[in-house]
Amino acid sequence: MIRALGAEWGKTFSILSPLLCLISTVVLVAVTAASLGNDFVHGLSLGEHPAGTTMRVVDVLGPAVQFGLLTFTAAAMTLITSEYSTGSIRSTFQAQPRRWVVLAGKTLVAVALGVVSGAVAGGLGVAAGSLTLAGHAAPAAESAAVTVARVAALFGVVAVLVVALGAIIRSAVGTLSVGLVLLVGMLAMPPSMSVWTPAGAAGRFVTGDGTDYPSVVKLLIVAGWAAAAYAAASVLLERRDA
Amino acid sequence: MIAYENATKRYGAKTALDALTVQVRSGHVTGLLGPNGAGKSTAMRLLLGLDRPTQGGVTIDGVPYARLKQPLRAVGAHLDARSCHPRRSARAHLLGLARHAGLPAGRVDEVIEVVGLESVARRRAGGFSLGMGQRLGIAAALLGDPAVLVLDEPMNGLDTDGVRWIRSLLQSFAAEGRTVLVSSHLMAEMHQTVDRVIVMGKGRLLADCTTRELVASVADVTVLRTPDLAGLDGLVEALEREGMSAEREAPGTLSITGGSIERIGDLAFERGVRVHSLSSTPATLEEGYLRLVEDEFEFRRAATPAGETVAIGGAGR
Repeated sequence: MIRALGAEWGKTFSILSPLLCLISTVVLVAVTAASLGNDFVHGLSLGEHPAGTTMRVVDVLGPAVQFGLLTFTAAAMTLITSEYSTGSIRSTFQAQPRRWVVLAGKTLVAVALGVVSGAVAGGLGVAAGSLTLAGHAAPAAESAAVTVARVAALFGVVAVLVVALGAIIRSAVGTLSVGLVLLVGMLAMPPSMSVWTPAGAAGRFVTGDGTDYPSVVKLLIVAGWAAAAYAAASVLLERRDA
Repeated sequence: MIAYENATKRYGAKTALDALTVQVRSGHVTGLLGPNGAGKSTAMRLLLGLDRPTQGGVTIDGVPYARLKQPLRAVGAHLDARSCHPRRSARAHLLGLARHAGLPAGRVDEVIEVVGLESVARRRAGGFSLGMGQRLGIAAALLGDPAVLVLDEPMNGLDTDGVRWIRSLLQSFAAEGRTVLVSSHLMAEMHQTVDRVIVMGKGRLLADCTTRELVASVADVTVLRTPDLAGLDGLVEALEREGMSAEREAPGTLSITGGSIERIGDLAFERGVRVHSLSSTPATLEEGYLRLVEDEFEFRRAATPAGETVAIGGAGR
């Protein structure tokens, strides 16, 4: 397992695209948070909101993180979809025929990338939101550290979901499309339903939204989807021809 | 030793491998021959655990690939020149495999040197020529210094030097008592490289014998040229009386099989047929192979109900 982890870690950084997608994710989250904060302040100055209205930093961070999940999906899926598109999966399975070990190695690398990039994106997002909202920020219910930890945890869980989807679907475009539907598209469903989807639960978890049920349950919802996908991926990987 | 035991693989309705039972012996370079669609690649994929057999299976010294403790040390394989990420460097590709297999990083540099890719090891594999890609694939196969070497069409895209290098590599592996299985469409090359052959057709085993046996299944051809068209009919009769077969290739040219060049010359002399040239061409692996494959398909078209197995040619001699 340690071997697979080392191998997959090295492979991830021996090509440029995962790193570029991770950097894009961090930039995207920070810029979106700044832009949303700035929009709110600008709206205030135009009189669109009553004077004295404030906004929580997490409310600009939530949509920004959800946006960032898309580029993070691209980064995490590369770990497995690029192996199928280039045929290198056959070399990998020759070196490690226990396919579950390969999947676990890739997943752990993706989780590590998710936690780190989530923490950086969350930190920069909170900073960007605080800076742009400035005096118009509502007092936060949680410390910035907790908010950053929420983003990091969410990215870590989403990493499992994405790698599993990649192993199931194998094609990059297919994985990205399904990832987009699961992580953002399902927001279009009625809130009572969308809260049970990764898309609905992810944003609500970041903002610490405790309506319906405690916010940690929202992370568990995303984790449930990830676990189901991972189980399906494990079974398919063993059964299918490489 | 590699052992196929009733190995069958169906992709949907198509049977790619049909109850293959054969052994690839150690200490030999064994050529896997067959027309396109014969099941050669499928046989190799089953061996490496990449595809799951529908029935039966393949073992390496009694163990299926997926259960080998150290797969790259047991079996080194190169199936496809395109099995590496084009934007990853050759060295990074090999390093990834070495780490998965628990091999030291120093081994990567060793095999890069063995295949002669030192100068391009840090360049992206996507920019490699077909020949360089083959060398990279062979480097991956050699990583674990394996007891069994499996190469699918390794000579494609290699220059003359490269082909000679592969040939000596395979032969030295076999000389060390290792098992070598290699497929190729280049019959002349295989004739020089392999000492045993496994011939497949339509997913089934057609022959498993030494190269010499397969070549011996085709008679040498003697070509006789004469300006004496009038005497030719009599000569053909005389040849056929002695059990030879003679075909008229062009006016004054006979292609004779089934007899020695000396006897043919004597018969022409006895009948007073003036001979301008008489030459004998030794049979080749290509002819032996083509005869086997053609006979098989001709026979099947003519007589065999579908699905029945036919034993033919040099098998088991």
